Amino acid sequence: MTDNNTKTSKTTAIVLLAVVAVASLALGLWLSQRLHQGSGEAASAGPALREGIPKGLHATVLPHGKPIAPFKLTDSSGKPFDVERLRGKWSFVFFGYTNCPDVCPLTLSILNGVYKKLTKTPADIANTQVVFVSVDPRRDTVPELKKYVHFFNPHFIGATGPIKQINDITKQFGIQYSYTKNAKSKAGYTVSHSAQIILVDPQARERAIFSPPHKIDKITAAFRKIRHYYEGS
Amino acid sequence: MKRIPNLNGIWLAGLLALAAAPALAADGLSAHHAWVRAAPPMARMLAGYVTLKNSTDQPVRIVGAESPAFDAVEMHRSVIKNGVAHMIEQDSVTVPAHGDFGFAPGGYHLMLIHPKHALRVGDSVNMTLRLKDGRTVSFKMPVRKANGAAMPKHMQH
Repeated sequence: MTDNNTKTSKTTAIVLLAVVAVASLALGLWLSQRLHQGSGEAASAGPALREGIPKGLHATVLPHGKPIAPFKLTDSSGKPFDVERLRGKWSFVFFGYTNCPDVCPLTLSILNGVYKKLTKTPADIANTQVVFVSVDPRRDTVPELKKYVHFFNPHFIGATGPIKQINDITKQFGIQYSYTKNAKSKAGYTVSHSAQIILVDPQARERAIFSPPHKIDKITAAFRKIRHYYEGS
Repeated sequence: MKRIPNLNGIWLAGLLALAAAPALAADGLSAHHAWVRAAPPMARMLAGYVTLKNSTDQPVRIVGAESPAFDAVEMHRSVIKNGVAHMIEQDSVTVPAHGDFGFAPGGYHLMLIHPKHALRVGDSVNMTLRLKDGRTVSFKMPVRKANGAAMPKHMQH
């Protein structure tokens, strides 16, 4: 009986907590929606996107999108790459470094696979871009970055900048990176970095996160669903 | 060191001879589907992959690797922990008895450091793995592009 009572009171507490959690979540969502409606529209390009989230995707979708604050990088052609370059396009953004022999080439090959699949449906490839941000500016110069990304796909954009400016974008996406010096290894230092692919919507809002292990089919399918859902097509 | 090959060994050797994949068996350890991921011409760091098969009763420990095409070759493992990709150098890897060990994209790989000249698709490099007991196993690794979807499967023909 005591056991049962304890269980019951525990259950009640859990239910209460759940109710409070759901209520605060709802309040939070409502508030953020209000806020975004207030601030987001003026700055955004293109038609407003639908609200809510599409279901059953291999991606974490942010219901209202998270507006991206200004940042300033340089792209692989030497042009400024800032938040304006994300407007009006769906952008896949991945962070890495060119001395990365395994995970970065693997991910860029996968993004190339996604890109090729999307090319088969003109509406899906239109205004879609892939951006590789190097978090190793000491070694990755702009010309080298260009050769590197174009090897995977000539449409891909490389971007980098001074560490401080890189941090302006990584922090917003929750991207972590750090340098590891292994005295024994001849590789110099290696860079540990978050391996997720971020999807930015045409209003320059972080819209979805693809977590590794990445698969061409899953990313392609999720992107199509997300895009069709928000564009109402 | 038994020198008398069993029937299975002969059959496997025949199969390997027929297969297009370059492989070289040394005392029961053989290399299959070896390849180097084609990289941009300026790449200073490449990765090589191979499946090692051990047909003996003893596990085989690999303690090093070298290739005339690179300044150095190291064994590393990509590990994704809490969403962050790390590369961890491996002092050794073990091919289990009657089992296999895969260097494959996104996991264990041969880190090919500073190519002596740029490698193109169609080139191939020689690789030698050093075993704990001093023996070596050598094989060729062709350079090819991978589209990420086509992960090499064990014994895929």
